[in-house]
Amino acid sequence: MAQQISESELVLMKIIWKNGGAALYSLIMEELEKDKNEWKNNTVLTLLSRLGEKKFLKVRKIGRRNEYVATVTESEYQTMQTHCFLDKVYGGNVKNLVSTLLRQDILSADELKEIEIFWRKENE
Amino acid sequence: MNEFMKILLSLSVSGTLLLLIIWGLKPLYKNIFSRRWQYYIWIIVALRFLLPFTPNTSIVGSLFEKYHAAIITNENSTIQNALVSINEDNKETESIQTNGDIAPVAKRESWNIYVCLFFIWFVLALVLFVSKITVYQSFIQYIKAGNTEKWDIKTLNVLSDCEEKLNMKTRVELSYHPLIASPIIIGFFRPRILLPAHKLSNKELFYIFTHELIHYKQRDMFYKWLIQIAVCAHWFNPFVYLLEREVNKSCELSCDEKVLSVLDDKARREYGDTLISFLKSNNLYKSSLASVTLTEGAEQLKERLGAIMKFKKMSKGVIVITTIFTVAVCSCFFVTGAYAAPSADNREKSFVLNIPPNTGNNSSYTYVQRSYYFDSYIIEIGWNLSDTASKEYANSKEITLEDNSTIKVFFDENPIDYWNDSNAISAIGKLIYSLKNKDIQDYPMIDMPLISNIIYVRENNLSVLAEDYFKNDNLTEFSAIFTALDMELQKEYCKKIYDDNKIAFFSSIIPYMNRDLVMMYADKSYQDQKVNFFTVIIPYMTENEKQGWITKAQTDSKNNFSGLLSNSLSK
Repeated sequence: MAQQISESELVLMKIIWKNGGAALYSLIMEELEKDKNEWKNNTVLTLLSRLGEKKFLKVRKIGRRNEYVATVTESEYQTMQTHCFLDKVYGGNVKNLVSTLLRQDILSADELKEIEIFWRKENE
Repeated sequence: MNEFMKILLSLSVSGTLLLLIIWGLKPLYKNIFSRRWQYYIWIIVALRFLLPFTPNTSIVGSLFEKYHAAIITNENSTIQNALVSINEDNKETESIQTNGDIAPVAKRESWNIYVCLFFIWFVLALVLFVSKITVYQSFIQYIKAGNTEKWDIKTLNVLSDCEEKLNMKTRVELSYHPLIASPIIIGFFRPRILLPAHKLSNKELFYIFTHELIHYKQRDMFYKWLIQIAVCAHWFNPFVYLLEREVNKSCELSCDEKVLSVLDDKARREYGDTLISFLKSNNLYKSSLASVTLTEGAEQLKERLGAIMKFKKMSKGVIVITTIFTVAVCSCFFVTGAYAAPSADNREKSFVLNIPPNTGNNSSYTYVQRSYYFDSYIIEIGWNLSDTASKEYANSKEITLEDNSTIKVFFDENPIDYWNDSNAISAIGKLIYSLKNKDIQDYPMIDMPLISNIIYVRENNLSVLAEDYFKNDNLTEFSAIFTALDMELQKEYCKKIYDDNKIAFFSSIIPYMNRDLVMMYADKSYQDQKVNFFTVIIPYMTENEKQGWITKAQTDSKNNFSGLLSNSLSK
């Protein structure tokens, strides 16, 4: 999927995912208010409809209200983005990615060991 | 096609008239009436250019009809001249009524010119229209290729505020495009505002959005394309470009006015500043065609800024004057009118075939030809053959009539097969006898008859045959058996012929029609403004009836009718 979710759209997606993959418009607005984001009605509607056009959301009618249903789960999206990132920046080479993570101390040696153990167990 | 060109031309004249009236009065209302009014008033002109909708009597309509009536009378007189010359020549014995080839030779030339003109008009209009659409589409494509959706919440919020302020029902999409210099709104049903890439303050954004949204609310895209259609259809008329220019100019002014009405004084100045800031940057892709941009040139901007400074709300008095003026313009719309086609597609034929019978006087010189149905034969008979002409026909036969008188009948080559068919001969005899004893509408008495064709018909399939002839446009045969059909069927055919505007048929059956029926169609064609039908009927009216119609046409001010009638009066 070549379509990208913009930063603002991701905020909305996160709210929907948090709510179990579907959310009513009113709930989305409430959540946005909690985060002290001043989002206008039309702004939200525009972003939601863009998500719909990109096929990340489906609209379900409940009476006269709209419920927005995510078509991808958060982890699916993460996987997708990671692949995308990997391809774009590291040319698909995982080793390079891991070495960068290590070099920048984003991943500690202990954590790496932990991952290694996890990986072996999985493959047994 | 002829008719079509006339309608088009009349629309052009009519539209130009209305355009010039409104344009000419501009100095009077320019600073008084609202810009919005000054913008929308052009719709009436555009519609005048496009809709062939007209009241019964209108300036342009009667102008065209007068011109038309002149042509009709000319045509009729030339045909009559041709008729006379044929008789004088005394060699030409070709059927006049059945043979429509004489006059069309002359007509064909002018018809060709019309076809040519139509072709030129059509091709140019089409090319123009297609090119406009292509330019627009390539512009949209160009926009789509480089456009990125705007997602920062602040900008979207400003747009949302503007939409709410203007009570917009449609949500407008927002993108930016690195290669446009001035904000623009595109799309008919799913509008999208495009911003240039450079940074804009929230204030500027607010003015830009308000302006563009008002363009959308005013339905300017539809308006501009309506004008483009008028331009394509009337490309030959220089005034239509004036209309285009005026509409584009007043469009921005009207939009500005609407924006200002929601702003206070300070904001007005800032709005002007925003306009200027966009003029400074150059348009990288210049296409003002039917898309709506924020600024369109220095000269125009000056006028717009002037209007911004002078902006004031309308007073009640002005509203009243505006209303009166609008009503006046609308009535101009109707009065100028257009040329309404007499809705005859085959009128080319009509005036050719319509040959009024000669009235009295020099009747002995007139060769007359008719077809009759008699005793299962369709007989084409002509009479008053001149002495010289009769020598051309070697075959002749003495036929004894019922009153024991004999008459010499000449035969053309076609019917020679029936020479020895005694049934056919007796049918001819009966026909001549009945023609002799019947006063047939002012035609000269039977003398020197010539049989030019005979067709044998089995009686039982007469109505089938009639239908066949009708479908195949066999005028002569159809009119011959027309009288033999029963009255109801005759009426039915008359109605069909009239409704389908088959004027050629009408003129060939009219001598066989019941007189009451003829007069009924006189009434009808007069009511329906079918000049062509009426013209055909005129020769069958008595002088008194003609006088009656003239008075009627004059009181109804149907000039074309009264003109035709008075021309037909015998001096």
